[in-house]
Amino acid sequence: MVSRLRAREDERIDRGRPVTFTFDGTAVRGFEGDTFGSAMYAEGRRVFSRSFKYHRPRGLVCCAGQCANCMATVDGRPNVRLCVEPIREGADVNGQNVLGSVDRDFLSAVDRFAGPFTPPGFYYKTFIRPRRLWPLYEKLLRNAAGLGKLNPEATREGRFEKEHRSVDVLVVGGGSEGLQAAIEAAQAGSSVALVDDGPEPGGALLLTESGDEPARALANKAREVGVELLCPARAVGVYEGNLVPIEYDNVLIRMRATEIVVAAGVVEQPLVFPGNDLVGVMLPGAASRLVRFWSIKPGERAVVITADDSGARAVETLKAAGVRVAATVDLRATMPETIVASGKKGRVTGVSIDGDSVRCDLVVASGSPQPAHALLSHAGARVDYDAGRGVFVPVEVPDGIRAVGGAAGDVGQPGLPRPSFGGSGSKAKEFVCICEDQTTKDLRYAHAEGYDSIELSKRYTTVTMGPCQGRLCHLNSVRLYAETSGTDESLIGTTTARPPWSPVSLEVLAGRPHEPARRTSMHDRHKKLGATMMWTGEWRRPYAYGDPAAEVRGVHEAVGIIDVSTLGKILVSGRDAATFLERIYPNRFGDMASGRIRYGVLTSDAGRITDDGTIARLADDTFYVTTTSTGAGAVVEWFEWWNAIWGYELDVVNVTGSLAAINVAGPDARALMERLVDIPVDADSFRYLDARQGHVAGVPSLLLRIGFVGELGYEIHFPSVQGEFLLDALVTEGADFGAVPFGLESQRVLRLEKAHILVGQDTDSESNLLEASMPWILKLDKGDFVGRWSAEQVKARGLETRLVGFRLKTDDLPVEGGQIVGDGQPVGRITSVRRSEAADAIIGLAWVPADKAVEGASFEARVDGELIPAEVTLEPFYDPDGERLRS
Amino acid sequence: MSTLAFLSTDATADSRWTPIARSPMQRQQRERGARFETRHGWELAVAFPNESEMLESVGIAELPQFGKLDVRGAGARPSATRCTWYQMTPQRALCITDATITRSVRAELQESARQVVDVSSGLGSVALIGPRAGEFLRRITELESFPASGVVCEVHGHVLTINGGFLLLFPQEYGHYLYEVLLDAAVPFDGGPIGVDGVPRGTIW
Amino acid sequence: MKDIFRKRRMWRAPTRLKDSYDAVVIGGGSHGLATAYYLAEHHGMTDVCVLEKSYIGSGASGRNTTIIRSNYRTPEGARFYKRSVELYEQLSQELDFNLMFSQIGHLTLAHSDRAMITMAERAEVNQLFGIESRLIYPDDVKDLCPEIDVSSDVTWPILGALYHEPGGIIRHDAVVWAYARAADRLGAEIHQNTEVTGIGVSNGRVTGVQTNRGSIECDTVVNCTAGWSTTLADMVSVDLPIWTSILQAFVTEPVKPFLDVVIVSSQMHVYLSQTDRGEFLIGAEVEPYSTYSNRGTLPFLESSARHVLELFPQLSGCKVLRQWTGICDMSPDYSPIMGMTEVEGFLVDCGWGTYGFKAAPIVGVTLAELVATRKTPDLIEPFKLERFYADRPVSELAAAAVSH
Repeated sequence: MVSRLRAREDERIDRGRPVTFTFDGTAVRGFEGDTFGSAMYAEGRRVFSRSFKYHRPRGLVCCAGQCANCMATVDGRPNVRLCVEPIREGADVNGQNVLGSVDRDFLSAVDRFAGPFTPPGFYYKTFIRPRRLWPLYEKLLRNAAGLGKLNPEATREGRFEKEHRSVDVLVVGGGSEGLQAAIEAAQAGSSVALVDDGPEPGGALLLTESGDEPARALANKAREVGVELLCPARAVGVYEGNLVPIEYDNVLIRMRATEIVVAAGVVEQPLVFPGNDLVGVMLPGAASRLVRFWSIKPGERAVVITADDSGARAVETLKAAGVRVAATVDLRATMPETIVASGKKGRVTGVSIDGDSVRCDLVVASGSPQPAHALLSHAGARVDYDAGRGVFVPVEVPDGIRAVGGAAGDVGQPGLPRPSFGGSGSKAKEFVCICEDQTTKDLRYAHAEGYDSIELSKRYTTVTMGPCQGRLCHLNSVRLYAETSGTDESLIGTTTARPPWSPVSLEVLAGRPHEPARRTSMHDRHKKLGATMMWTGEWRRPYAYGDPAAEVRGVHEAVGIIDVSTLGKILVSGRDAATFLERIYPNRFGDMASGRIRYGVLTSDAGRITDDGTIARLADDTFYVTTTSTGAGAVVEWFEWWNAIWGYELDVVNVTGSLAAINVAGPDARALMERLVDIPVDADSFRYLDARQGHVAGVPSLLLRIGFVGELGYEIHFPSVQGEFLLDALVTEGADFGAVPFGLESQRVLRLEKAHILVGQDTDSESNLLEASMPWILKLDKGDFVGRWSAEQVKARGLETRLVGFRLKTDDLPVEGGQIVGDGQPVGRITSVRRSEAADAIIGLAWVPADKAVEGASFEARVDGELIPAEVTLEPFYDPDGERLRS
Repeated sequence: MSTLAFLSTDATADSRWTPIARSPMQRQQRERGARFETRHGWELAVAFPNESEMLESVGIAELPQFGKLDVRGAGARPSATRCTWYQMTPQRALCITDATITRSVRAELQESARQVVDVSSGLGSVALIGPRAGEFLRRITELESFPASGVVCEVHGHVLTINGGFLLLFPQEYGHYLYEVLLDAAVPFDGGPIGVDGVPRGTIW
Repeated sequence: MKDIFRKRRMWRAPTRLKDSYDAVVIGGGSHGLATAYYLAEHHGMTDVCVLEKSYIGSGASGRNTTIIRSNYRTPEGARFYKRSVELYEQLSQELDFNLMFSQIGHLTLAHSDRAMITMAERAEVNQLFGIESRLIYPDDVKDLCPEIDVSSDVTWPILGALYHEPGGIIRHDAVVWAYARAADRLGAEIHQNTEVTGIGVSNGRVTGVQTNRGSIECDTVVNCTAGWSTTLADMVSVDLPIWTSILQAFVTEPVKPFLDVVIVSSQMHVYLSQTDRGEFLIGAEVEPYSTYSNRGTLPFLESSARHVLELFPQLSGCKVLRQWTGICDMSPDYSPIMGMTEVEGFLVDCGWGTYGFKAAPIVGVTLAELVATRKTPDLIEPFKLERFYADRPVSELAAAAVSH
């Protein structure tokens, strides 16, 4: 039965632009300006979904996106509220959570038969035994739960932006109160933005027969005085610092407001009576919206029952739409004992008020006009029950936010509806929470079972935990609870309102899908050279260019080139630079000559190893410190924090990104460098651990003769933007020497051959210098330094564990992290392990009990569930005397 | 201090070689059809197709060749006009210079500052130019009164004002990521990249 | 089953406090109620009261993201949580209340080499203690979670995961209610809306407790207040090396079953599961600043959303229904602090950070044993407060790297 009325002034639909979509495979025709729900209603559909638990037929109740009654799956997206979702050409809309269809759901058998077996919390009392069957029962429960179904093939679609704004006054709610507040603020000189969820502001004015004109006038006035109108848009919540995220088209506006004015009006509350969930029972606002927005006749014959003026307004609108109003009840004037709606096949056919029956196909009913105070609660306002008006009102509103109109509690003097109108006679279900299918009987049951606080009751019955999040059920549940327990509503309190105010999707919150990544200036060259890239923290680095074993060979036999630009690089300079470094590192630096380098290990103030790197003295008062790739930021912070306490004359400058670094290592490294540098690089002029400045291929550079890979090597630090150029020069000139680029994997093997630790892999948050076998770093014959007390304590109590090298006596490679076992207990772990061609063995580093830290000692490592013997070595596996390194 | 010479791209000295500096955004710029030229030791994207259209909304101009100097100590400001001074804290400032005067300004500042570190390679610089530059900026940062330092496109950066819009400075190693974000954010604005030569006179200085 | 036809009060609501009790448990969450239950059940100690300042389970027990697991990194932790999981496995039967413990399996995804090593280590330690955990690779991850993208077309490709078969999710409120009912039926008294305002100490020992409803004499007080541990400890001048912060979580609208395993990403510091009601329950890490605020933040929602969609773009249209916070008492080594203090009779149970709920049964058993026998059980010996003074931490940093 088509319910579309003739064209009305101010209707939202454009009859010149028809739109067609399908619902459950059948075509539905509507107009631009319709929502899916309105178009379907206009064509005569009344049943939109089946309820969560009982699979009862459900129809439109609020037409404002508050409840779950019209949820359906649209183009594969579940849980779309059809009553507010704008119509779209060609959309594929389907009912959800049914076996069969929305019109004929086989699961409605649950409603007929399951009732006595499914009181609230029935699942806590069932399926306990036998235990082994629980997974099966659980599967059944899980399949019964949930509303729509996700499309497993879905991908992220569409653009979602974020925008940062700030404004003097933000008004949420574009009804007459909100518009007036906005106009006043703008006239007083404030920058003002107003948010309303309709395509045009107007709020409740738009629901009255004569409200369009005044709404338009106010909106125009607002625009004139410079109010920025954001509609349709929705405020997500109020966060600290008056941050209000606003959903506006595909942009999430992160709005900061000096003052927030909440003009969100009231939320109409359903009445609680038997049959109150029948299709055709709706809130006054829903009836008005159907008529005024989409020119739809909501029914033929209506009964209107309200506790405030919303009834009279609804009657006016219904009559204008040609609906016969068979009876009206104003609960301010009369308070019936019982109200019982009856129906057929789930649709209302009549209402009985104190025994007097009235035939009808539409029941427009509402109870208390509950102020929409949620945003105030987010901001910290308390909420009190106003017994005289039967609603919760905000009190103790913090600074920076205020409410006007209905949201503030300005609701006149409504009637106080009974918590339930069922009386003692009716057997039909009276719903308190339509989202979760909880009835008055269920709530009374929970109370009898001892869930005697609103919070416990809520968690047990799940009332307010459904899609409406209490908007349409919280007040009623509190009032029923008060009646059942014989306490005052004010003593019961409310459950805390939390963001989001209305549900917001993950894609809107996520915004653009970019993740920060750091790349060295030679990134593209690496890829051109065939590198497979990997993540190290936030950096992208080459894993290998081909076969890592060939790269290792290249370094040992000829020369290898590796990009180590990710190293942290810090300049520490000033009169007190040396003193500072000695106080923060366990090392000694004061006696270092300019032009020399030392390997340093940083420890926490509890003496735990946190980072390592090289410290080169460039001048008396200037040190160049390197750190691990992921540690630069933390080390800079560490330095600055301690110096904030010590107050040395010092400057710390993070030049990590300013400089690229390339390590050239191998027996032919010197020969290659000779071709490119303009300073002497012979063994006498440029010794191991010397630092020199010069030019490499014309690029200004700091050269450090250090080595983590056991071969003669030069580390070139130079302006990062010249990275590609310098790498090209090295590769080109290096071709004559068979130079190979090498990546992280081969570097791992090489450094392991030298038993060089990787902080964070070979050490963890508890490792200290002595047990990590680096006693020479620790200089206790100097003044106090960060972590000194702990080093002394470790020394005093004796070492209990030690980091040592080992060789495995089999060919099976254990996992890094593998355990070392003694007497069936874990007594240590393997931190690094690799196969080394040069050492012709599987080598690694491991933490072992201190008494095993003896050359040749053996221990057992767990490999694939088996125990394999390993042999300790305290010497590097390759070039143990460092001859190649120092050549 | 010559001890820090290795930080400056202009401290090249060996006549056998002519080092070239490149920005991490080069590959993306090539993909967008940019034309390149070598100037001041830099390979620069000097022009993009349709760049004049971008200027009607928001143009994104990478200007990597600018000098950026980290200045410590309360010394005198430079006398040159083609540079911007950003006093971050009483003891710390950032000086942005035109490529042709980086060396001279550096030398001048070294006279009175406690320390001058050349971080030109460490900070990328991108100018946002056009009538919608301010609106565009709101899509990528919460900062709103400039100059300011804080989070831009999820990484730490600085935003300075220039005659024709804004100058973004950010850690160079995020360059590729940042360019991707900026160009993507510009799509709803019908904005896009413009080359060095596409920047109207007087926009920066 | 027959219980569904019967209405019977879950626990009594005693109207007044007695003058004295053998033991007072402060904190009516899972730990406090479990302790009261085991005191009665294992040791016949029934002259016990549980004092809860709000409603039972109002603290962390009612706010956590319901994950149960034992795949910890240290031997001390592994032993301890293993026992807890074993107790949870038969708890529904023991307490005759369906706790809806779904051992759907727990996956900690590794997106980097470093993470794989950490997972391998945890797997190895777990296996040595008979805990079912193993390192698996992308193909196996895909088998367990067909909806996840294991290709390299994503920002952080999955290199593997730590697969912990016995891990899963549970109905957290049910645990609180079941323990409460069981303790109450054995004689313990549960006093809600009863706030402790002071603890009497004389000559270095506890003498009694003052509350907003009167005073109690007792010589044994167990502090099971998690996020409020330091405020209680202040009452007896016991210093706890705890800093307090909040953990945030949110839940989406319910959809039909999609995710059949608990997913944790160490890279993105986000974790999610799908409840029996069909909602996705999502959380991240503790806020890196000290706070008691119960307001959630927007950046948490934004970054969690972004990271969840990296893993499961199918959830793009899922809507956030509600976000909340819980207070976490963080210890220096991410292991709990349990046992005696320098004040005789004042026992602590804190430092639970983001991993307290999964330990409830074993906490109850061991604390009860401690109270009844006055001797510290071996299982919790490593967690004593003195360990910090002796610089002997039990560092679970790696396993707590992402809170869950």
